[in-house]
Amino acid sequence: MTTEASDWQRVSPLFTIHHLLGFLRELANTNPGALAGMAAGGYAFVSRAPVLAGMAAVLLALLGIGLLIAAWMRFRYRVQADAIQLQQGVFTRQRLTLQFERIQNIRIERPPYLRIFGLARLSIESAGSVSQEVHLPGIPEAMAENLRDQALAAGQFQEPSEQGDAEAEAETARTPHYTTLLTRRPRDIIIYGISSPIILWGAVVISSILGVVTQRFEPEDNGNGEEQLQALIPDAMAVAWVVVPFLALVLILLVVMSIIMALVRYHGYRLEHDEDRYRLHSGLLTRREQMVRHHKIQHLHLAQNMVARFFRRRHLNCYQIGSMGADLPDGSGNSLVAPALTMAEQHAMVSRLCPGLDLNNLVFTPVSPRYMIPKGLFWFSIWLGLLMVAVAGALPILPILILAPVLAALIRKNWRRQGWAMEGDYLVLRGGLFGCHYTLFSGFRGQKLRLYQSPLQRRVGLGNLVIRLSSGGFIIPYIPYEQGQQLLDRLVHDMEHSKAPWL
Amino acid sequence: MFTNHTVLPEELPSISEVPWQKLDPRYPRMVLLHGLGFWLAAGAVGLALTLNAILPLTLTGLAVLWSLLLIPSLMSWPAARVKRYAIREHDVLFHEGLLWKSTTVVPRNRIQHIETENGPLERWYGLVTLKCYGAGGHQADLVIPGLEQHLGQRLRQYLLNEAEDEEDRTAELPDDN
Repeated sequence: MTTEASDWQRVSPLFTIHHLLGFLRELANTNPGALAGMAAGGYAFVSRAPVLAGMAAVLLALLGIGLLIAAWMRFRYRVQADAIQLQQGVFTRQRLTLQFERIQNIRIERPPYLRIFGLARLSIESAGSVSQEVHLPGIPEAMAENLRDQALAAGQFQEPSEQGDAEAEAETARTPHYTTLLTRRPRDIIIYGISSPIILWGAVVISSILGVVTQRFEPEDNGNGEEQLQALIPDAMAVAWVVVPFLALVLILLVVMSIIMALVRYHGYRLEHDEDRYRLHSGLLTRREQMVRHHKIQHLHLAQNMVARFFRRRHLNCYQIGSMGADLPDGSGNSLVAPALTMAEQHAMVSRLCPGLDLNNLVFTPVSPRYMIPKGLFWFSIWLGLLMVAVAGALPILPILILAPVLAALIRKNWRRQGWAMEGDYLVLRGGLFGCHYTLFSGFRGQKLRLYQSPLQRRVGLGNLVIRLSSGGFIIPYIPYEQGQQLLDRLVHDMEHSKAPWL
Repeated sequence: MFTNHTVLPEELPSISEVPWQKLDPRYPRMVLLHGLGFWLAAGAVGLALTLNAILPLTLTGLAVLWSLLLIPSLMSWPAARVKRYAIREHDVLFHEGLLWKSTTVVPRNRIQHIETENGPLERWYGLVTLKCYGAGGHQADLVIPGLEQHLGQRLRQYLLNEAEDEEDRTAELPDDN
């Protein structure tokens, strides 16, 4: 399987398409305002001086094409016995060496424009002290697969295994045999689309749109926007008739968008495993094939928001080293994801990923009710403010009074959700308000532990325990100090005595 | 051979009985000097801004504000005095905090790299800061300031050796169960 050290190679010229798309995506993500301004400016330019604008456009296009070709010429790679080297950059040249054994996550992606030519894009994520991602777009599929196998094998060879070395070597040579662990039907993916966090951002989007709408009305005359609206629609009730359907429409649009994005990204979702390797196929247009080794998964997160709770589903994300984001329908994030799991599927996946852990039979230690005091004070002061406004007559008083028990109930509910459990090697943290989410990891994966207490906590013998993994930090708040110390001692012991591979 | 002895909670080495080491006695002095330097500089800038009517403050107001700023600068001295560290067989510990007390533990087999650092003021006092980095983070997991130079270098070397051994996996952990 080993390839001998080869010389610098170029990728397919289709690299230019990848590069252009990447550039456009980055431009749209980082400064959409500037892009819109440029488009508007361009439009004005075209309408004033079409000939000049045409010439400028041709010049710009030529310049762009020139740059793309230069970028392609400069982008070269070299495969060595234990590493892959890259050089790239038109103006500033960059040279990278990725050690196979340091590779965390490796993906083969087949976007339509590469697939029709039998090419693929290899995305490699490596972890140093700062993790970085490298793309090799436009290499033959067989080459991509070969490189991936080589990288995975290198990782395996490094680890001390329970068996002898010869046996381990034999294992790397054997052809992997994958069995399917989980598939997702369109229905599951649609549920994921509906219950992904994007919907909750909908509120933010709506409020900003409303802000723009009211701003629109303001500059026209000095009266406020509402008056202007009322001038347009004489009946005050009519404003509600316009605004409410508009909001509903925006929300429906967001949901539809989210569902479409989820379907495009996760169509044909199939998670397979072979011993300690997980392979994930998904994608409608761009076929993605993601591979992760079991021991590189640092922690699991079973997420559930209000909408997911309604469907009785949870989304599982497996995090690796570095601050990678959760895998979301809009294409962000790169953790290994298992979307919209039913209770039974959650159970099966967790017992597969954390052998010996039974999620249904965990006994959670509750958090001290004092944990809710800061939150309670915050919401109480807001409520008090509202009450004062209501007493002054600016707001109806009855809803405000009803709000008090609702707030109290929500705070209590949030407190009841908090908890932690130590089961064997595993630490499980629970939280949430409407939904109920879990974070699971093995204690030995910790990197650093910190126990701290504020002066008020010291008076009542409480403390906070922070556990930092290479994939993120977690806190057990308001734990009795003695208990926190015992848990810390236990975790330190696990970390120091574990010989399991963990990076 | 894989063994998995049961360890009773009482038998675990506890952080409540750690032999803590104090930082170098020059460290609190250095921190105080540093704080007072900043305090004086802030006062000078504040005075200049007030005299030129850029800051809307009277001279008395400025004096009150300036003396209030003295409190955190002075507090840095006792805060520096309570900081302490410990190096056990398998981990490094650091304790700090006057009011908000905190204890940090980093196992030695989780340390990825270590640096020592000294700024101009630290060089003047002959002190160094030791920083331990773990995997996956951008910040140091553990920072021990105020170590005497040679001690700092020795500690760094000592911890580095352990980390390398871990990486090579040549040295087995002593079986102390």
